[in-house]
Amino acid sequence: MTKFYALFGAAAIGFMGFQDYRGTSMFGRRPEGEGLFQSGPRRGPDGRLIGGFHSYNHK
Amino acid sequence: MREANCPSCGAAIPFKVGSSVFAICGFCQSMVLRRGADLENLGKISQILDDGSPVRLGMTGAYKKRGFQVAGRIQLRWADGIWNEWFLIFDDNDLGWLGEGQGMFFLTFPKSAPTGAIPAFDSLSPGQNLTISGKPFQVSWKETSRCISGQGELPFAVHEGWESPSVDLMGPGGAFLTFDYSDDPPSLYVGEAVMIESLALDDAMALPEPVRKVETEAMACLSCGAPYNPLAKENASWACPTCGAVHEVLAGKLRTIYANQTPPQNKPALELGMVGTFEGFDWTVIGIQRRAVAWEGDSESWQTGETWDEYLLWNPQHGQRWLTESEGHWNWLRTVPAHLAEGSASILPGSPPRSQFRHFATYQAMTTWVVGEFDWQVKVGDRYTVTDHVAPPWVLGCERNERETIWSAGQYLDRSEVLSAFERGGGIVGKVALPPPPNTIGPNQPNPYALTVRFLRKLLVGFLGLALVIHLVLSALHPPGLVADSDFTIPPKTPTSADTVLSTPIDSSTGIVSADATTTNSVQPASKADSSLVRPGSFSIGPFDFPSRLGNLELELQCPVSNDWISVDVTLTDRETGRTWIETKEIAYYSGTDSDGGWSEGSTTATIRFDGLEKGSYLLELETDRDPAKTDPLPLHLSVHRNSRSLSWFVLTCLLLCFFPLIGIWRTWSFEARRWADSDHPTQGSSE
Repeated sequence: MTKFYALFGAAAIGFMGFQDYRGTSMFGRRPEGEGLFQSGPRRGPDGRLIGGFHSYNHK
Repeated sequence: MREANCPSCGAAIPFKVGSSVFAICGFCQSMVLRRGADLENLGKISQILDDGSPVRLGMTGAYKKRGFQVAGRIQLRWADGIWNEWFLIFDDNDLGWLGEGQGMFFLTFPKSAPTGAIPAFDSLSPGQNLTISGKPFQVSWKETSRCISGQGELPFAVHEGWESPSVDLMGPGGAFLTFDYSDDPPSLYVGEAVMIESLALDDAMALPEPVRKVETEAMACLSCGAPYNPLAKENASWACPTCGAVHEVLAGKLRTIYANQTPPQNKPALELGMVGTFEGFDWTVIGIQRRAVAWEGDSESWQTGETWDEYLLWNPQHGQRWLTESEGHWNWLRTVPAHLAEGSASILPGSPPRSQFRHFATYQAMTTWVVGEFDWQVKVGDRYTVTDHVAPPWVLGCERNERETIWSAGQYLDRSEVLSAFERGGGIVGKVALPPPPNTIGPNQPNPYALTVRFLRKLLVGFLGLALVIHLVLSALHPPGLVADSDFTIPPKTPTSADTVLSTPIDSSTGIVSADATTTNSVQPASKADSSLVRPGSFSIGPFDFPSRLGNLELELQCPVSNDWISVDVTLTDRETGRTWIETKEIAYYSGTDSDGGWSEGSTTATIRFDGLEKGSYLLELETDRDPAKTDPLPLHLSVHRNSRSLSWFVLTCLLLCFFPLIGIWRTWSFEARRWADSDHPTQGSSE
């Protein structure tokens, strides 16, 4: 377990260092078409936004 | 040193100190009394019983940097066994006594006591507390012993049957006193309990052990006739392995103590005579005692429950040890002086001090079956109050009854260690068949996760430190800066405003849509051609240069909406590569009151972050949308920061790094909880 943890820790710090080097955040938006976890509005072929929302279901 | 000749056999009898008035001839066992230059033959005394003592006549040693030699010995018998008083002559002619019994040693020196200072023998009882010279002492032992043999020279005459009423007292820091009532007035001996190893005994000058002539006809079980062949030495009692009859062993003769002993249904794992290698030495199993947890039943008879086995092992040079087995858990134990068991130093080499031991359980232990040899008169039904303290893998046990207090300490042994010890030992009588590995947790069983967790903790600290340094260093590569700080006005979404380009005209000199906007130098003016296409509520900043090779842009939007919302579509465009970043945010804030009181939800601010920017020229465009029913203009404040620092990856990494140590800690805690569930303190596992 300790060996695995040592490898895991080194990998985690390496990944963090890579992201810090790129100046990114977990919550930042990447350019369109990039990034692993893109979500939210997209532009359609005509350039219009797809999505757009009013999330608050207020009283 | 003076030397005389035995008046009986003529053998040389040395007198190392002038104060020695008595000696026992090593060849014919004649007791010789010295009266000036004359020697008087007082008859013969029985030969020394081979009790397996690691001390031998003639041995040299040292105590507190003072050398001594073992000059004589009195062997005494008390109710439960045999003990020795070794007469020591120090290099400076000081005289001392090394008491030895049940594996414990006490070194004392004669001291003069004021007349009447020593209480009467009958006025003392075990457990009684006394204050002597301002220090608290407790009577630990009170017996009248009889001399059964002797060796070498002695400062006074003894004879077989000579009675020695004495009282031992234990005090703070291992202080030890003996009141010897064989003298009138009683004598005082002052000293301390010692570990035999601390005396650095050297047998280079030791005399050969006398071989006692054994009366063979007496060495058979008086109940079944099975031969008694001492495995290692003569002891105080012997339980016949054939029929279970227990005998007292006295001067090579047996006397039945009791004959009826029910053999146990399940045999002990080890057998008498098996030899195991522990601490680098061979130890022979000479006695086995089965004990059980006992409690007083309703009818005032004692009930017994869970049982365990205790094996008495013996080595000619190192005395005796205990190997115990309970539910497959093994412990290697030895008796320890009370001052070590209760002191502040390590109890045994490598063990923690008493303060690190935690009370585990107190219970009554009853002997239910015995076999083999013991150096006390073992009895089925013997009860002791046992108190166990643990500091895994160490255990410290205290056994008390109305007569004595015995401390023992030792370590947990893995089953495989016991197995290999007896496989190495060579003297295996039968095949070693140990109980299966335990499915419970022993009181002092080492926590298998503790070492891993300790290592993981250290690794975690190192990793967290490394992560922090790397985060700080790499974050410093991206110097932050303000790109724009602007105010806009969002017009009402009315039909008449559809033809309105902006609620406020573009300042051609700044390119900022609001008249009161403030900008930084990096914000470039938007062209009028572009602005003519802009819908109401749409704004742009730039183009502006992003100077860093890598980095991010963070937008902070503030709009004082109240029971209202706006939606902001933001598009960042790299004018050179055409890459775009698109984000939509809603700023909404609602509040009011209802039957529960005031309520609010939402926020008047929003943050947008664009990552993965590279050096280049960028244009930022905002398009707002709002409730068409609203008719008032809304101010919108926008701050754009370059290379805003983020802790998110650092925090995520720290959390991930903590994950495995936390699992390890949980498993450690779970193990401890199971351990302490069987103790008198079932909730203590959580404090581990």
